[in-house]
Amino acid sequence: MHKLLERQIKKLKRKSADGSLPVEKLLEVISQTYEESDEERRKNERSMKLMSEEVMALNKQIQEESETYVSTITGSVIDGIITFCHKGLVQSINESAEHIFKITSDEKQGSSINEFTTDGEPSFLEIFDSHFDGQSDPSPMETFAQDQEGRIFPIDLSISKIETSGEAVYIAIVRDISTRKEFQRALITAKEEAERMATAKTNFLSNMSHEIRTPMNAVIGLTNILLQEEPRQDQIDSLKALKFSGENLLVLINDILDYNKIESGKLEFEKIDFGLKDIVQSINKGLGVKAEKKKIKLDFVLGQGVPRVIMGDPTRLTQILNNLVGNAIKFTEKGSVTLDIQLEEKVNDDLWLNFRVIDTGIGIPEDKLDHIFESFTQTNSTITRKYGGTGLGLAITKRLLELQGSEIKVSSKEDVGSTFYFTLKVGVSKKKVKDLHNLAEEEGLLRTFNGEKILLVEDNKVNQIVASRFLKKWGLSMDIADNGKIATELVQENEYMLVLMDLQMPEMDGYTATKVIRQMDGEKFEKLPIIALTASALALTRIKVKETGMDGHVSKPFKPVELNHKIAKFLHGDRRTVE
Amino acid sequence: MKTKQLIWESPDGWDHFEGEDINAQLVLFFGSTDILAESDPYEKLKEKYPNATLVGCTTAGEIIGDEVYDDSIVATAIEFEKTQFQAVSLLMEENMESYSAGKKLSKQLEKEGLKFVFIISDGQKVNGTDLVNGMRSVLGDEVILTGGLAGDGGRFEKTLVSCNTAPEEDRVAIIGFYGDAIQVGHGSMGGWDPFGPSRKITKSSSNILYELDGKPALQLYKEYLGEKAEELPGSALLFPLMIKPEDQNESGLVRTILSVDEETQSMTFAGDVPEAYEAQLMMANFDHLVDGASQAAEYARFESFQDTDDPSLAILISCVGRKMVLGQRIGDEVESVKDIMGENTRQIGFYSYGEISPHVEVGHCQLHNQTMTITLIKENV
Repeated sequence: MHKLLERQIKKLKRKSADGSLPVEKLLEVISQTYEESDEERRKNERSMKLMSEEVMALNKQIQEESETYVSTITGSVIDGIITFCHKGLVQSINESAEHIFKITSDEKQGSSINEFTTDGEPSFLEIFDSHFDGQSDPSPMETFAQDQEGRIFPIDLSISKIETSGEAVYIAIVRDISTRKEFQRALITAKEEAERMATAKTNFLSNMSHEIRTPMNAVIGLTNILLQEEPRQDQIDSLKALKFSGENLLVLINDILDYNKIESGKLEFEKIDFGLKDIVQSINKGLGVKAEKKKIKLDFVLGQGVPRVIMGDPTRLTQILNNLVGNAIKFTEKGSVTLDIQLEEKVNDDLWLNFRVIDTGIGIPEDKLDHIFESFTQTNSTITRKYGGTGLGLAITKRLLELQGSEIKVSSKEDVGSTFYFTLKVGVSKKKVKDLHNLAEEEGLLRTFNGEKILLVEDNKVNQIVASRFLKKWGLSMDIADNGKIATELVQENEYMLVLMDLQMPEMDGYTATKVIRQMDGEKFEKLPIIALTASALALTRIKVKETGMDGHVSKPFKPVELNHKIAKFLHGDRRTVE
Repeated sequence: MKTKQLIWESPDGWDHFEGEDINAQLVLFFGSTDILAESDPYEKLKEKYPNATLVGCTTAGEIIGDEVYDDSIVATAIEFEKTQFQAVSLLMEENMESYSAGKKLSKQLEKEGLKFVFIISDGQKVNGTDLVNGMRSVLGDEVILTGGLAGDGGRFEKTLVSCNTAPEEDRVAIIGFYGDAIQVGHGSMGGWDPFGPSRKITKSSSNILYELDGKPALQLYKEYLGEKAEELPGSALLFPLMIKPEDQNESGLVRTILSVDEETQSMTFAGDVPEAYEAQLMMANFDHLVDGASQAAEYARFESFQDTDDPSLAILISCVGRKMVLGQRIGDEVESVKDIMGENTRQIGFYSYGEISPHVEVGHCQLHNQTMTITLIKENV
């Protein structure tokens, strides 16, 4: 019997007077139990139903909240976000993307992603397959998109793929980079323009140097000749002044060319043995007279332990010191200018030498100290008028030292004087002073020849005269060709031991003429020494000279010794001094 | 400790139920409002035990032995061998706070040797939570507090409490027990199953609930009650409310409804329903409720009553909600308690509007709803 029924019977029996079971009452109680049971069932069913409804509503609410959350985030980013399915149908598109693609219609969902790219170009889906699929950390790619108005514009695009409820969803993140691209284009244009300007400048300088050097060649050369041809006593001072001015002008031009060379990074440094004393002597020779004229004492101090012979680039060192000492003399009215060289350190084969140029001149105002090494700067324009110069000297000096790993410094006090100083690393030399001097002496000798025939190719009449005077003096015989074309004819008709070839000429330039000669039949045309006469001091010209097949070059206006030695190198002339 | 049990079932008066005659010092009695409201039963009990302290209240059902009665009065007379006790009571005055009532009453008790306090309180005006907290503020957590709020069937109209007085409204009575002889065990369990979504209490004021998740709470109850909505507030007992602080994993408290207010769409509960707490409806599974009663019995026996068969008295205070849900099966839970208590434990108790006992997890004393709460006492001699 059911426990409840058992209790119900027991209770009813207890209540009845005689302990018997009142059936009517029992049935009543049992019926009540059934009713309670029904009620319970109804209550449970109702609760179940309501609960399900509530849970469903909650589910919906959670879903809506999460959708709102996501759309709030995607709505607030700058990048366009487009999601699409594997069929390429758009599922969602954020506000930024609507803006980027100029989408105005409300029918965004279900449209094709092909609308975002130009016909014939890969769609986002194809781009994903080819570029992003399987990449663990792909960077955005640059491509083009098309908006609803047909405008094609550059974008940064990255596409990823996720799986939600077993379905692939692609997420394309798009950034319009039109503005960035415009900036890039403007930058590239500006850079190209700058490069074009730089090339133009280089060419201009090259041309100018040619144009200036050619007449300078004539002025200095003819002055030299006039001086050698026993001029009248009353003419000597004028000729000497002419020579001085010409050489001075050449220094200025060389400054400008040097600067150009340094700026274009085409400068190389030699590493050869040279005597410090020779440098000092050459500076003294060049500037001593100037100092003497201004009644300034010019002193040279070689400190203890400074080796007499070192390894380095003597030309550049001379140029640097000449510049600094020259400046010092220029800006000093009384007192002295001292070049002081001290050994700072010696480690194995490396030497550190400290150079100081000390003057008692006008000094430099403190606020100008920082600027004096800048190009084309002198402390003020009155200085330029009073002292002359290009204003490039210190800038060149600074750059020349920088390129050798050194730095120029200055300390100065107005009306007291200035000290320019730097420490230069040079190499220890194994040579002795004696070895160098033999070499130098030897180098100073001019060679004479025995009537060997050479060809001078030169379009400038004055240059023709200057060159031929020297050449004849050294015992050479020559023909003269006015341009490259004539030269190519002459070399075939005559036997020349050597050709001096100008580069810039009408009709046919020196490069072309050389190429033509080298291509002629016969071994002699291949071996015929051709020396370029170049007014251009640019490194680029030298490289081109070598590439064209020429055997050497002499820069114009030529130094007689240099030209003499170059020719001797090929013709083996006698050793003899020519005055 | 000796006990004798009586029952008043018919107009005939008090009948013997169980036990020998004793010289009782304390008589506990619980009965339906209609019968207790008459002066007869109380006077007749007083005649039987003229020297005893009489404490009792109205109910929503009476428990004696392993049975549940309606429209009766049950009583247990107790004769202690060593234990002293002190009963005090007060009438809730107009505008009196339950918290201060608890404080005031507790202060009247002698503290020396106080071990355990049993509470029988009005079930309509008193906020059980506040009453207990007021008492704890004076007595601390070392003294065990158990008891219950008087009931009024399923009517929720008036509850009566007696403490050496004729049963009357608004009375709160407490009995303090002293000395080392008395042993007290207690257990309180519900067995209700939370169901449906977790809701947030968005508007409430102490024990009045206005809104859940921003919607009127009363409306939610009406939806779930369906046709039974007409029987509010009683029928709301079918769906007790479980509340707990947000994001806490503890089992939480169960709250039962006392009254509804159509005008403000609010519901008044037998304990506090703080704002921001999580709330979840609960429903009954018969077996789980009966299991809950068994577990409460196990808890009550857990320490002092393990493995002993000394004569004991179990006071069962169970919730009116359980009685409404279990209907005719209500006897099952009392029987299941009796099965665990054994032969030498006599049982008495009632269906109440709120149970008071230390929380089985939290430890300190709280007001419970919808539970079977058992207080088990015996004397060590």
